[in-house]
Amino acid sequence: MFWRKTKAAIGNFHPLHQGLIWQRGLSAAMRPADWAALVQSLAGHDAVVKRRKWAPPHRTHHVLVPLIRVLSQDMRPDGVLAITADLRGPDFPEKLTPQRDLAVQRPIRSIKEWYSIDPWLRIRAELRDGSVLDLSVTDRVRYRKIHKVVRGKHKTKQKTKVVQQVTATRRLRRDAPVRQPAVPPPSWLRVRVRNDRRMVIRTSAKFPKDDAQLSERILYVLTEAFRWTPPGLARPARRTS
Amino acid sequence: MDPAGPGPAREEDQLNRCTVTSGFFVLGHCGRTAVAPCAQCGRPTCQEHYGPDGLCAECRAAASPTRSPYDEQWVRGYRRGYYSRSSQTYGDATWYSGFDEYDRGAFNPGQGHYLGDYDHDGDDGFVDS
Ligand SMILES: [Zn+2]
Ligand SMILES: [Zn+2]
Repeated sequence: MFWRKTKAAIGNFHPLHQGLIWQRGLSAAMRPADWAALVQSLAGHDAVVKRRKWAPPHRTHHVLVPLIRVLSQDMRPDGVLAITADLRGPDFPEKLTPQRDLAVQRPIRSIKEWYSIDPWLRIRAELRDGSVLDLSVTDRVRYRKIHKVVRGKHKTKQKTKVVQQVTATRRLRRDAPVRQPAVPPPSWLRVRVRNDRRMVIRTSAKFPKDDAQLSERILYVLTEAFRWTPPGLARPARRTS
Repeated sequence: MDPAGPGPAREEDQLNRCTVTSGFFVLGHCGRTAVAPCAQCGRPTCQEHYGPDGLCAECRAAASPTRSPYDEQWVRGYRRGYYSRSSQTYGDATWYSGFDEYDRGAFNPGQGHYLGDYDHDGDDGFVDS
């Protein structure tokens, strides 16, 4: 049977690739070259597996792979990139808040409202300038189930609204030189800077859900943390012989 | 003054180092021993970044960009576009120009963030024998 062959082929994929298929997630702390091996395994997926049911979650392609590629660029070969991704989606009991009733007016009979809080991505990267970057993405889904009676007919509908919250923290190495950016960040970005001997820049933003745009939006949130350390600002410690 | 500062020998040394850009936010230059100048941009380029087309990795990525992040070369082409777009998003022209100047080697390589691979290799290697 063909599925048996396909399953055997999946068994040859990178273990984390298999985890993305069967568990819809991964959690690992590895060096950039090890992450590159996972990306390479993922790149070969479609040639071997046609069945959509066994495709990795689409956020693998839209978010994980681009972020692995970008962050690996800024790491030393021995730096650690830790990623925990839960790509199962928002609709699991442990992610849901209790339902509550909202006040209503006729013809609406009732509105039940609840949320899903889905912190589906956490990343920590040790960057080659000695700074450490933490990143998290949380989907906050609002559900409303509306029951109304129009001309004696009962109607129910459910509405959802999704906001993606992206938060990043960059901790610079001790006494790293910084320069305040020339212009303030855009108004949709929330920024807090703590400047002790070790500067910490924390940024966050909320976006309407759009997974295809998300990786670039995440980078927009990260950008502020790097505008404080433009290239050519200082001569870093060199480790040449 | 600066014990790691450029003495005459060191400057000479730096002229022969590959200045292909590395990094995304934490920019650096490759720093391996250069084997030839890029036919297009003229930057000294190491064996690894020098293609049979005579171009450096930057010029090659710009000439044939890929849209697939599974491709190892993707991030090189994506980076310049990203700096351009994010510069507009932030209304900060210096964000792009800083990248551009760095990428074009306007910074003295001696100031470069040679945090790239060659530090790690232990030796500069890649000498064309
Ligand atoms: Zn070139
Ligand atoms: Zn090079």
